[in-house]
Amino acid sequence: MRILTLWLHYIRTSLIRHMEFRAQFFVNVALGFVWLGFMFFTAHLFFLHTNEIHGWTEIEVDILITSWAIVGSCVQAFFWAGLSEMTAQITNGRFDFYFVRPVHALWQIIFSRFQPAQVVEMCAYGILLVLFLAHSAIDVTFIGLTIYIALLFCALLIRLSILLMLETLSFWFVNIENVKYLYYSIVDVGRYPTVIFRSAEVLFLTVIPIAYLGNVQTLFLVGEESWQLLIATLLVTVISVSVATGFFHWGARRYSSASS
Amino acid sequence: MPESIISVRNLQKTYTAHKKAPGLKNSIKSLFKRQTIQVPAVRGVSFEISPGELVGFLGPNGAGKTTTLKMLSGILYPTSGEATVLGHTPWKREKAYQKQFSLVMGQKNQLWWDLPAMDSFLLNKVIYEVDDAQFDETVNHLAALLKISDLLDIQVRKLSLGERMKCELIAALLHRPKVLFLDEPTIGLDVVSQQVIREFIREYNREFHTTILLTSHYMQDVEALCKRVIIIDRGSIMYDGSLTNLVSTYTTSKVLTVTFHADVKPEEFDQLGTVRDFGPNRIVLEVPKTEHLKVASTILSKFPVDDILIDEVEIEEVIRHIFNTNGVGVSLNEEQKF
Repeated sequence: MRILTLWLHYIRTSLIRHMEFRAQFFVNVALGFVWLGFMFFTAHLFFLHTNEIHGWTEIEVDILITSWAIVGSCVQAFFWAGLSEMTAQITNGRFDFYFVRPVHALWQIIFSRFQPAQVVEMCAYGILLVLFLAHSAIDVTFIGLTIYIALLFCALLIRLSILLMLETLSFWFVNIENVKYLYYSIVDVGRYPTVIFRSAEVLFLTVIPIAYLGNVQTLFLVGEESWQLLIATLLVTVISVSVATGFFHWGARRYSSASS
Repeated sequence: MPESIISVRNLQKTYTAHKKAPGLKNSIKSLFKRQTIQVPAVRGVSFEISPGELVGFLGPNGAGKTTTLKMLSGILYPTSGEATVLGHTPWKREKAYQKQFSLVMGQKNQLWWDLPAMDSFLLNKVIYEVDDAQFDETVNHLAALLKISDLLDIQVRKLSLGERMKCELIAALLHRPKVLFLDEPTIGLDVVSQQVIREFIREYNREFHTTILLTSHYMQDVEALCKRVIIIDRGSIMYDGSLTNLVSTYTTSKVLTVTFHADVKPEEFDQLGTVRDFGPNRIVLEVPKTEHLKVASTILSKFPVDDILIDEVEIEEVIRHIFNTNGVGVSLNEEQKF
């Protein structure tokens, strides 16, 4: 309960801060929609030449992109600003404060910042998903939808784990701001059907678990579920979260702060 | 003597760094092969602090003051040694401990830059689980003491450095910590702000009996606030004891400031002591401690004296002397042998 109260206060404080920069809020929302447009545009380029991509129809790819983007914008809205500041804060020593407050440092990093513009995006993607489903012949069952939402939550945890692992490298390497680009490059692959990567698909189902960022969710929603995939998703989520948090705690022990 | 609230035994911290000769060629070389060195920041530091004490932690840049404070705050893990603060091992980062201490760093701020300080206070209220009544009382009381009641609703980025530091102090004290680590709280501040913060720290320590460990480069801070000082240099404690004892033990001279109602020449004082300053109708003379009365008497009888003032050598100079003689076998610890 206390954690929820604190999170709400962090959201409240971030919201107050964002209201100081009104123009920035509207620009961010607008840029988000431009990005959304480009994302669908590039995906549909393929369908100018073919009706399906290795078994994936146009509507399925739309659902895949939307599912991937819902999780992506959720990360951007609630977790990105805090986590992505880690590198800078470790470099300039402001990370010190996370270790002196009576709230777990990792919790503070993940939850301390909120970006309202991305919530607008998230809602837009949610509406798009409903529209795509409404204009498709896909029969969505209650169970299918429930599993889909649970799998989106797994995708969120996997994304956060990837980001946390990359940012944790800052405990050893100074000023590695480019891990953010690496994060974007890795997760970006997840908005395409992983089957198109042929043999690399195995890699995306195991070592770099990006198949679980949208592909698996879409398969469940369109009725191509597989219980093996469900178990694999849960397993990968647990492993990702465990490895990422363990890695963070290992790094935190080696934190050397910055000279004042 | 009451039981210690802070107990530090043989605390050590060694950083790993690497050496690189200047120039592009050496930079390229260092990409493939570099010499790693171990830099001992703190070497076997030990001390005890009793509840309610206000102790000055002094030393030149790189002496190990901040590193020690960071270990006591749980920010850094030590390389070896032990420490307990309020019965907790700081680097275990236990919530029960974190709720009872606070760290203020003069060169880093924890307030939200784009928001009024009050918004950060409200966030800290939730973080430290401070109830409404205590929050209101503490904020009002501390803001009045620091004379910033009218600034709490202004964005932090629009405040002056001194005003920001006052807000930082309030943010750090909302939960009424039992132990307060102050790392150069007056750094960069103007004289007036320094004075206000000094007064505040003294008043806060008196009112709440908070144990305070203060590092500062300004000797005025230390003279005004600390009865006890710990002097650290190159990671080792050089002195731990009272400030008055430090001055009386490690000064061999006194300073005589004499004003005259007629002209005098500096050469006339050569035999009496070392002339440190000379101006119109005024001379500052450093004389051996054992002879200062005799010299004063001589000056009074031979010169047209208007006023004479006998002072101790400035504390800053004493400490400078200690740092300069460090490593030549000077044992400075009078009250405790480690």
